[in-house]
Amino acid sequence: MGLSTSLNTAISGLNATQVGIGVVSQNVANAGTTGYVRRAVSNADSLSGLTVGVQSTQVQRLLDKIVQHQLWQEASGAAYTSTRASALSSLDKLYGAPGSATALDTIFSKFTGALQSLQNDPSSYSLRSQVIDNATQLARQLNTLSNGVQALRAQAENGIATAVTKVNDLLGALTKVNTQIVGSPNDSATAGLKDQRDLILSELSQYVDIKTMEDARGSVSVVTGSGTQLFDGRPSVTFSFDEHSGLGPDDAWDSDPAKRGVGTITMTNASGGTSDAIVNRVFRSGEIAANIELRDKTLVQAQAQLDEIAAQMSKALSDREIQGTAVTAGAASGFDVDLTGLQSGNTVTLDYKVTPGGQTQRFTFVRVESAASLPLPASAGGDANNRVIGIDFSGGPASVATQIQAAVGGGFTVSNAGSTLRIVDDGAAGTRDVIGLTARPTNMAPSAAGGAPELPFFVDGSGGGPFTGSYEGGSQTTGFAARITINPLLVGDRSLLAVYNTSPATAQGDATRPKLMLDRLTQSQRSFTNAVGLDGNTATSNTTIANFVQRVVSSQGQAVEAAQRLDEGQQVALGSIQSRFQQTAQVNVDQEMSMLIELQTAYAANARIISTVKEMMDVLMRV
Amino acid sequence: MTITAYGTGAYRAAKPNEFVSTRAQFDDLQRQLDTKQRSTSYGDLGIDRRVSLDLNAKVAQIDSWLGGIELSNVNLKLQTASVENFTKLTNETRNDTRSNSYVPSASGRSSPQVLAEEKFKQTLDLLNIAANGRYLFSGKTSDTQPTLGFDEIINGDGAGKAGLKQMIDERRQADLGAGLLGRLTAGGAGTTATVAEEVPAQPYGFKIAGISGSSAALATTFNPGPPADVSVNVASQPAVGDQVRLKLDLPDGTQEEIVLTARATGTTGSDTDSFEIGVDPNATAANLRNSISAALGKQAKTTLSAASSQVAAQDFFAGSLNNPPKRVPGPPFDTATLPPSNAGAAATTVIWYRGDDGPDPARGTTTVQVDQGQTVGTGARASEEAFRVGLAQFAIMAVENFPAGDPNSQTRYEAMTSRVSEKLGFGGSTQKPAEIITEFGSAQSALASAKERHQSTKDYLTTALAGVENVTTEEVATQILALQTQLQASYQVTSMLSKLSLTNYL
Repeated sequence: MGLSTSLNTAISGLNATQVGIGVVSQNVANAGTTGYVRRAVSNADSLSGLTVGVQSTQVQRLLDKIVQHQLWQEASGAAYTSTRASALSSLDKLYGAPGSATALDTIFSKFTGALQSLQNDPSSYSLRSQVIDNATQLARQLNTLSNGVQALRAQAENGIATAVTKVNDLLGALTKVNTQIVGSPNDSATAGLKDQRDLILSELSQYVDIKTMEDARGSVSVVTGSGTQLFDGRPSVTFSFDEHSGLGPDDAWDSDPAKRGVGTITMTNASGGTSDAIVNRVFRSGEIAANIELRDKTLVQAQAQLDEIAAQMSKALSDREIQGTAVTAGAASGFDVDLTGLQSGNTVTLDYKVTPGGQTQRFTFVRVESAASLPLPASAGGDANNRVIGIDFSGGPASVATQIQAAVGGGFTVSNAGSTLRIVDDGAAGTRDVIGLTARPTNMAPSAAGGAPELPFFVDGSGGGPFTGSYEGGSQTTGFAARITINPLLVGDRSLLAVYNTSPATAQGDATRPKLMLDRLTQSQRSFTNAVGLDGNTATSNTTIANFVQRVVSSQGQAVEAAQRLDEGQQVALGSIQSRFQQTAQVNVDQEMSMLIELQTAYAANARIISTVKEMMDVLMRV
Repeated sequence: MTITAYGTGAYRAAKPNEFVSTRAQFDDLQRQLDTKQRSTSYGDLGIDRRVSLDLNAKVAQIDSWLGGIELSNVNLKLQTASVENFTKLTNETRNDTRSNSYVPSASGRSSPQVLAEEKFKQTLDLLNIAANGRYLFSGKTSDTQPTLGFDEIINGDGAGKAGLKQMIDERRQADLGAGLLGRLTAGGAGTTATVAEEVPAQPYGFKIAGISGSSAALATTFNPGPPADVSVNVASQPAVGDQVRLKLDLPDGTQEEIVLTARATGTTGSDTDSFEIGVDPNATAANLRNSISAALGKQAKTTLSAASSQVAAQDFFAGSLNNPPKRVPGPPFDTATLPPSNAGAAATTVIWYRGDDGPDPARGTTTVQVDQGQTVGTGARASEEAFRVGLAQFAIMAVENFPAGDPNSQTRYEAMTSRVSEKLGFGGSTQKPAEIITEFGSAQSALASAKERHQSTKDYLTTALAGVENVTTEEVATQILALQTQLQASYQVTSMLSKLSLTNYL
């Protein structure tokens, strides 16, 4: 091995060291750049002829691929939980601070408190005004909450629109970067492109949950968590979203475009075929999935709960309870009840026992005006012990009896005499006992000759239409919280809070009506359909309205807390993955500096070798 | 809405993020220190939110009970004071009407009568008391003043509706009858003297309850009827001092006995209480007949007149909007045979009580709910029996007139005062003012005990609520201090670490 060989080796060492210093300087310079991954140079021995040298083969990005994939997944999870937590937290704020004057339960308590005072002195103008004021405030609060819920839904709708646009943009950008990577050699410039690609993918992962795969050429393919291919060298699908503005409570998502009141995400594949991404459940995590869930489920439930409060409160005050009169027909016994005055949406309940030893069960018949309104929507509720059945009243009383007979089946005999309905059990056979038959017609007039103490205290909308809970052309209950107002007749004539009968005229100081109102709101057990529980509770429950209000606020708070806890947990998971990722990918300036010193020393050593070789050559020349 | 950056490059933000979240905790603690509230929403309150909701509802409920109690207490005190004053007034009049107190006067009205008029007016004022725009003695119609004014009650409205004065007058005519003997006829021939009720039987005037003679010379017969009649047969000449006793029932439920004593021939005496023994039984019987007519005539003008006033006043004050007072059918009244009725009376008679007159007890017309299951009745009606009796007696005193020249004045005055005095004693089953006061008193004590109970429950609940919703200054201060120390240490270490770089040593 000659001197020249040593010289060559030293020179290639100098070259390699220079590349190394270049990378170190790049690392140090980009220490603060977003998406920058630390690089290192790998050197190898090279043998050309008899010369052994050092060759800088490639610049490597130092990162853990597995951790990077986990990071993207956690990122979409975190986007999902934080979107939910933030939306629910704003909803929570709408319900007011605990115990404050704006809290829903406080406003409700104030209303019942005002009724309590009124029953002590029903003729007092100021107490009557207090009831009207507090009821107005309660109705307004329900309106406000309902509007707030719908605003949050609109925000979610808008969030989906923005996210869909962004996803399309990101997929477009990814196409360019991916093409460049495939066409470039594996050098430090390619590493930069890959940084950029990963940056795009990480942003994409916030909107959609993604999995990626990289082939030998460096080209990536992206699939969603649900298995839909998003990208394979170029976008496999493009998304579009028909954003609707001004969402109302009755605007719901439906797979049928004709029934849909909100936007849906359409996927168009390369061959131009389209499909509905929401129907196919393409989005399972990430911001888009969170917004879809908020818009179509969580906030719809929140609205349904408010509607239930409004509807139950309104019906509790307006619906009379007409108990059937006991009758016997031979061995069979049962009840007669007059169905006059039953409005669309009003109910007739049949309580019975399966004998021997069965528990009390109930049929609830709901008046509808045409067969088109049947069957009742799921929100009508009901369960195994309380079957809710719509009855078309358009065919007259005989047809009503026939429909009821068909609904209750054997063991009962249903008949009618004019508008009076009779249901008796099977007498001697003794398999059924009819316990009660009750009609619940809405009292439409606040005061009339021979009037009842129930009154239409709340009405539907500022027009003053009655609220009967009808199912004609959709449930009247849907969005009632947004429309509930106090009956303008009461605002105009406050004496109606006491006077329910014009002949014989009720005394102004008669506490019957205020007492009934208070009892109905705070004491009477009512059946809540509760198909809508934010806490997942779907069973029908019997409780007072006052308790239901508390339960709604409480389950709301609980849902918010759960969402926040989930978000906190997700942030912790994300944080730990981030720190694991950092361990390999982060630029550590100290490390770079020590590397620099090492390279410097190596450079000096190589230079020394060259100078030594030169001295030896000089000595040789002098000889 | 902000989404924290989660990208691969976001790790650079990790440390500052920690600082930001610690800072946010710091701000929240500061808010807690300012407001003393643990959280601003039910979501942040944690598992205690159910307790907070429940306690808040309970406190609101108790507050409304306490409010009701407070208001009712004022009303009850005013009501009690009114009834106490009323009692005082009735006691005074009762003292004024002791027997043998008649003093003739030029105006025909004694001073107790003048005072009674003032007391009547005062009682009306007491019953018309209002608090917070609410009439306390008006039952359920607490927006209606319960009574009319004095003048309208006594003299009528001057537009076709009769007042008390007219009703008394009509009743008096009906009781007196056309023959001025209290709807009786006295007659007889030969040795008999007869007294008979008018035929057909009617409810006015005297009703014969019985007759007796003190000796066999004065044989009596009694046909109870109705219509009843009696006769005395002077079978032989009676001895001096023999008596005929005729018992008469008056419309107001009292009974009078006419005692006619035989006096010796040639003596003089009042025909109203004695008869002269004549030359033979026929003459004696003629004298007896005279005497009976005179005695009946006097009773009809005195005791019967007082009884008529009582009955008329009682009927008048029993009237209410749904049950107008009963009136004697007429005119003519002196020959009326049908019993008093209230048919059509609403249009022709002043109804003094304008409030509600339902069948429920007066206390139940206004109730205060003091607890979940406890309601206390605090209502009252001006038409309660005690007030009606008092008002009727004051009114009778006020409207009667006793001219000094009338020989019957004293007897009539005594007949009136004895009845007034007896009625104002609220004897027997009559409702006494003291009963009303007692009922108000027990209502007040029920309110007081409920108030005390609620107050202590509320104190406890408020404390419990504070434990859930509020924070103590010490607790927050400690947390702030801990957080401050932690944050400071964290800042310092971060700053030290950032200075500690190899770059400095190259």
